[in-house]
Amino acid sequence: MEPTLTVHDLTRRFGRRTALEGVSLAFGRGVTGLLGPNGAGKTTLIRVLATTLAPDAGRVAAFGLDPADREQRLAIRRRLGYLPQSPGAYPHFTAFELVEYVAILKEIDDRRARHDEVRRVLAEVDLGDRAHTKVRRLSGGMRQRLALAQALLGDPDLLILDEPTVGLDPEQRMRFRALLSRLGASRTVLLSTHQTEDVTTLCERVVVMRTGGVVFEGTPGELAAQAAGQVWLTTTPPEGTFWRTPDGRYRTLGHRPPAAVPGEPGVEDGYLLLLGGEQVAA
Amino acid sequence: MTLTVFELRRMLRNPLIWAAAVLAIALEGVRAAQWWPDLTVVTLRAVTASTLVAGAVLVAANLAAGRDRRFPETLAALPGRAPSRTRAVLLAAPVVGALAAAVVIVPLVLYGHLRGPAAGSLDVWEALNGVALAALAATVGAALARWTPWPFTPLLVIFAFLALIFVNGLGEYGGWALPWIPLHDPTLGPRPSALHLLYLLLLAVAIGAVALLRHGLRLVPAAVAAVATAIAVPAIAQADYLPKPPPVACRQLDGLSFCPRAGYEPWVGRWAAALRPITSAVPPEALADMPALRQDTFGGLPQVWLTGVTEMSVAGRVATGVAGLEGGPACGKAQTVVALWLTGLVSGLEESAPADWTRPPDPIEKGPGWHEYPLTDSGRSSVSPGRLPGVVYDGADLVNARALLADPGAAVKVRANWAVLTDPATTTEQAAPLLGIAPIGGAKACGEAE
Ligand SMILES: Nc1ncnc2c1ncn2[C@@H]1O[C@H](COP(=O)(O)OP(=O)(O)OP(=O)(O)O)[C@@H](O)[C@H]1O
Ligand SMILES: [Mg+2]
Repeated sequence: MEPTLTVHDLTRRFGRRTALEGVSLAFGRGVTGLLGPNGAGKTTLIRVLATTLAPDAGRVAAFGLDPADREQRLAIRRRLGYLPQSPGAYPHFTAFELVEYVAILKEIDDRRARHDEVRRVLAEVDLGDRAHTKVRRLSGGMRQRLALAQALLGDPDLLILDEPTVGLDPEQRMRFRALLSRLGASRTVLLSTHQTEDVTTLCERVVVMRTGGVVFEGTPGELAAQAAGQVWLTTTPPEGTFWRTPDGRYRTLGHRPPAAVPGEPGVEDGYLLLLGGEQVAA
Repeated sequence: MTLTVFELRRMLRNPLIWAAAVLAIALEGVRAAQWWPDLTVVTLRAVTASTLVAGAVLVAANLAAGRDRRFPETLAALPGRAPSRTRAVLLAAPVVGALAAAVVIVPLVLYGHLRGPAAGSLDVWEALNGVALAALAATVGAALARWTPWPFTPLLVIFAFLALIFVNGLGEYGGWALPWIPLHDPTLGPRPSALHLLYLLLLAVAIGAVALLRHGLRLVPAAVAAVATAIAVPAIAQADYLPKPPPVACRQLDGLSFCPRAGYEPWVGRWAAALRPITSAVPPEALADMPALRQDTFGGLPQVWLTGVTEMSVAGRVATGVAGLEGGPACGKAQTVVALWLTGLVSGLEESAPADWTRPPDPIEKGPGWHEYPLTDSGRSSVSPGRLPGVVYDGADLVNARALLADPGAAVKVRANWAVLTDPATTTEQAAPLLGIAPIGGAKACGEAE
């Protein structure tokens, strides 16, 4: 299958700081998770893909279109839903008005169709009953959902979400996962997150970035497998870094502590070992 | 287009704009009730009141055009682009601003008109200046949002504008290039209101184009801004007051001759009515020598009419004239008491010095009919217009006139002894038996101790 989105040898600098260097990736239908520590370049990559930031070097193509060209960029934007990391909002709009404003800028010109669509996306994020509340009166998590709602407008073929689950309560996070799992069946969804659980529960693919480069690309299972044979459970606190498990035992990564039994590796284990393996396992 | 409608609907529901409109109507409506309706003045005042709306529209347009700074990243990825957002605000905000200004101006002018008889003339171009001003303010607000990132610049601009038009009310600095000149000196002739309206509209177009230029140096907005400026600047540079209309004929009423300025004929009847207590109290021959009351000279008939205050000043002029006073010190003269009594018939004598005030502080003459009193013992400075223009009198004369005013038979006595009473040689003491009062003060120079 032809990938929806490809980047080749992408580089982007901010002054002397390199945010992206030689990144080449391809994204097809399904949900891809983007992991990486703070400052890894996730947002920078996402902004380039969402056509809001031009790369210094490299090629980008979405739906076979080049965002460097004005007309083609417009064509990409017509099929794109984007949730930025800091979406912001206009505090004096109601939730409905904010989404409607974006809908107008998404060229949904027919009034009735637009209003129906606004109501639909508000319902998707469970804000149907808050439609006429002013944005400044919404809670942080509700604002995040509102920002997500505008990204869903027009049922875009490509959905790019930068840390969409930040601030969501567990129930809303479940709801979000269900929504994205449904959308991912027929669309291309790219999301960045710091929640490895998001990746485990809804991503088919995962990309791990570090200091502007890609350090892993594969399925969540493959990422978890990075930690195979390095997850240990003990009944007494081991030396070094450890954390507690729900059943009262201690979990640690890396070298086997005395009297430890092997544990089941997860995405988080793989991720941690991949990035900070040396420190974590020290 | 859809975006313009969206902005239009939002702006129409903007509470700031409508609160400003209600406030402007209320403030100016209450004030207007105290003045005789003069459509020339009413229109100017209504437009001045509507500047409140213009200020609100400036802020509202600024917020609307600057709104996308609140969520730039979200908007950047949408097909609808920034110039179209600016254009929508530039189309919607002036329309709503103009509407709100009209909502202020039309009822105020109508109110003046309906309270009639209204003098002056309704200059529709002048009224439209207020509408154009609000539209201009909208484009200024939008342009500021596009060109300056600071949220307080609109307030600075509004402040500068207020300073320009209210501190510099006759356009002493800037002249017709100012967006609005709130005051008007009718002796200079009609204002070039149509030209000024054209100027405001061209300015609005130019500033709107400048706002759009923020999105890139494009030919169309650049050309529009250049052409609009090129027409507006020379046009306003040569703007001047229009030729004065020819004077209208004087009219005789109640024995007086009234000479209104063109457009003020409807007020002749009201002037005469205000003066009737005097004209009916004095013998007809006393009125025969009165010079015509002209509106276009200083010290003649007033240009505007504030109920309660203006009656007193006109009554003072007529009373001084019929009593034969010629200005200068006139303390202790029967003439002075009669003249004060006549003004008292029109507006009472209560507000003057207290009854036991026999030795007033020496007044400092500030101009015809204006005396400023120095600080009194209580530390208060009282500044009051003398009742009789150019005539210096003191508290004793007031007390005597008040005694006369208290006598219901005074009119008969005054009329019967008119020639003696108005003789400059007759003192109050000499006239006391004729008037039936017990005078205080005696014959003395003004302000002299007893
Ligand atoms: N607008 C900018 N100006 C200057 N430097 C920037 C800018 N945006 C990002 N950077 C730098 O680029 C690097 C990558 O930043 P980026 O925001 O892409 O990281 P991230 O992976 O999204 O991090 P986080 O998990 O904290 O969101 C960082 O070093 C950051 O300081
Ligand atoms: Mg980020």
